[in-house]
Amino acid sequence: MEFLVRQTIGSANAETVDSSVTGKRLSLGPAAKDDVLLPGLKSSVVIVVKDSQSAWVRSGARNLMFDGVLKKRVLLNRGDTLEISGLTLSLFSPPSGFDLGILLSGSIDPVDNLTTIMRTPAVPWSMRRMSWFLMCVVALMSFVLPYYALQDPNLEDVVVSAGFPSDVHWSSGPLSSAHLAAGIAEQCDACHVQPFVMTQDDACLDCHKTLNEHADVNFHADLGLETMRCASCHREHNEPSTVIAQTDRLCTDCHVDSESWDVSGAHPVIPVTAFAPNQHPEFKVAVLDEAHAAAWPVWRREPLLSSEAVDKSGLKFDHQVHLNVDKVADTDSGDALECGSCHALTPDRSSFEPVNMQAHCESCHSLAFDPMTPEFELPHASAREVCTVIEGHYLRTFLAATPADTKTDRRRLGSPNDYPSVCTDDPYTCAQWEAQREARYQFEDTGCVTCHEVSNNNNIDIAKRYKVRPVYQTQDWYMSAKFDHRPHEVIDGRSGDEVCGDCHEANTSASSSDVLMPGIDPCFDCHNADLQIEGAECVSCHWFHPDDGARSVLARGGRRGGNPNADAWIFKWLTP
Amino acid sequence: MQSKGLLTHGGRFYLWWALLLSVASLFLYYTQGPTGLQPPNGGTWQGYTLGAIGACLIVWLSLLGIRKRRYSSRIGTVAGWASAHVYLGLALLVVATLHCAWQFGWNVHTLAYALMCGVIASGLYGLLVYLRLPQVQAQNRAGKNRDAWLDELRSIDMDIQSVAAKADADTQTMSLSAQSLTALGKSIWAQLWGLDRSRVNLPVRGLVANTDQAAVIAYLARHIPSARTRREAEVLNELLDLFGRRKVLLSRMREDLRLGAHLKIWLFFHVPLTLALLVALCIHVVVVFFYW
Repeated sequence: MEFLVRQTIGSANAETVDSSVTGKRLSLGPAAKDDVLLPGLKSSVVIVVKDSQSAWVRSGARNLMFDGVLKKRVLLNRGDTLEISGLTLSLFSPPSGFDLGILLSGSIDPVDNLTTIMRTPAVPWSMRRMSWFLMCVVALMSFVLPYYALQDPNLEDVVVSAGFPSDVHWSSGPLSSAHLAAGIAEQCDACHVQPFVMTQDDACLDCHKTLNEHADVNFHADLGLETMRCASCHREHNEPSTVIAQTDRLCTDCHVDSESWDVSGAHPVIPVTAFAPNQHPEFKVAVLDEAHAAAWPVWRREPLLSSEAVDKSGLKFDHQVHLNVDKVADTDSGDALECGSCHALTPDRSSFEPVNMQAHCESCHSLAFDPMTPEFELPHASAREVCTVIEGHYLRTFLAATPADTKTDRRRLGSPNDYPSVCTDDPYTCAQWEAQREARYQFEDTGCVTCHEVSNNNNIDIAKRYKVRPVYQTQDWYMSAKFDHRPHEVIDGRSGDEVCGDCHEANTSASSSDVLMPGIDPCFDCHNADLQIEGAECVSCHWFHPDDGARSVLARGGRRGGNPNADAWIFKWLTP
Repeated sequence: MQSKGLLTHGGRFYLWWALLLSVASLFLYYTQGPTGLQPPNGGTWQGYTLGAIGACLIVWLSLLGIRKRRYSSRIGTVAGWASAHVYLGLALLVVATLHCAWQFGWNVHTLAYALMCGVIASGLYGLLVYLRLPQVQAQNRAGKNRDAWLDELRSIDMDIQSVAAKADADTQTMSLSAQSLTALGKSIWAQLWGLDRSRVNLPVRGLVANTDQAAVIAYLARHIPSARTRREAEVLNELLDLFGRRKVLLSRMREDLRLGAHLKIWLFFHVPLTLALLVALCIHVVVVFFYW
């Protein structure tokens, strides 16, 4: 392209200076790179030929005044006039050989650039564009993308891996730690099975299969327990987490007037209004129901302060003696025994492992019975097994002896008995006598009978004569409550036996029938709803879903799935 | 004065409504109480109530943009709407915060809340600048307007050019460059902070910053004592006087631009954020019930 640029000069613009420029476009401006130098112009102006009659004029700034409007881009036809910062630009018919003639007249007004600014102050961006941009971004990122990702697992993978929002960002709050498991935390529809339908019980019971209702739904049909949605009480997505409701209202709404309940001859349910003095019943402890103990152990609950509250474990044990270092000491260290010497907390630290003969007693209470063969020990088993072992031992001892040393070997050295110290009968009779004597010693004098309750039916056969009462160690003393030892292991900087003794008066207990469980009063020192001390909520110690309730999966079976037609039209409308 | 009327309109009628709404919302919030099955949140009946009030408020507050353009509308006065917009907009912060019960997270619900806070914050800024800046702007203008300033500046610049023509080539070049390189709020940032990025082509030193015309004034002041002739000294003196006047004038213009930018910039955020909030609000409501 050949451009002819004609500039008027002189005070009256009477003279002109022509210059020619060859190129695809013509640039006018203040920079050295511009084809025509125009000092004072704020930015370069570029002219591109459209045809012989017109050209596009484009400026880096909105300073092209055309038809009274400031523009950045103008299509200039021959006969039109364009003002740029006081300079007038127009097209004229060039002589042959040129494609476009451009006439520049006047001079650049330095103030003109400031005029532009003063009349049209700068804005960051068009407000309309900004509005549309923000609306589209919010709609796209917050709904459209997560929604379509929800419909297409492949798209969801892409969206999540790229770090874009998914339906997880629709969550109104964090899940409880128990529900942060894989498959729930990242998959909303694990619980929200159907859009626009409240979370149904089946979603909960898919995992919580062993959960029980608050009571037997057949016996308490009038309460309609199974008609309450799980999520009515177990609210997720809250801070702090309330998936397990802590409020006392959960219990006291009903149990406040439990006296009026028709219990049909069963024990009345004592009202409770809060965990505070005179508002909560005295603790009841588990007592072995001896009526059933012969067949299987059954515990019933008795008030701690009643005469029925007796430990019927079947063991004989004197805590007072065992905790007195002058009488009993640790076989290794020689120190006094501690509570922890025998009582080991269960892994969940809610109760204690059963005391075990081998682990806790045998170091002192050896089961060796024959001083001649101290390496042989009786089994810690039934009386029948023990007697069988005793008989076998003495039969081997006496029958294996040679005639030459019969009298010597048949003698049981150092044994207190009412038989001759040297048995002169045949080996079998001697062995039977020794077995009889040893069995009496173990079951009547000071062996097994030291710790166990033994009955004697005087049967001639020692294997059938004695019966040791089964040992039932009560592990769950508070059957309707739970107790976590963890927060109670250190109190006021004290720990060990010192803290145990705060609640369990073992130091003064001389009988194993003593129930060494604390009453309710010591608890009030630290947990008291009246004083608004934390940890006094019902569910701190009690389960809402007890073991003896109806199985929820069965009780709610008819309600699984919710209402499939609820709000279906909305879902259809949203589904692509 | 009109901006103050925004707050005092109708005897602060809407202030009392806003206070009543806030107190009622607080009452509703605290009825959720610590003894409930769940902590205060948007999912209780109180939370739903507060949410519904908040959503209605947002929609109604957004309608001000339509109402103020409908000059024939008889649904209240624009002044009344604006006054209600201010007070109820501030009450919205209370209502929405109690609705969400201070539970925030990285989710669409908090996005809606954040956008609402952005709208309220920008609106509050707009209110503050409208209360304060028009007076400051009027004082700065001292009865003149921008066109008058431009005419005056053009006159000064023409005088500078004619006086500079009598000076030596260096002084001429410097004077002309000081004019052509004068910057006045070219970007929104420069306008908001009143930045002066003017430059000047000084003899020997070349292009240097000429903030508040200081460089050119300093050059002239420095060379007057060393003028070789009386005429040269008079020319330099005259230029010094003209650039001094130019400095004062440009300062006023720049301050006017700064004040004007502050009076308008908030709306650039307020309106787009409001529209984005309306979208986020709809999504918030749909999503809450989608995953009910």
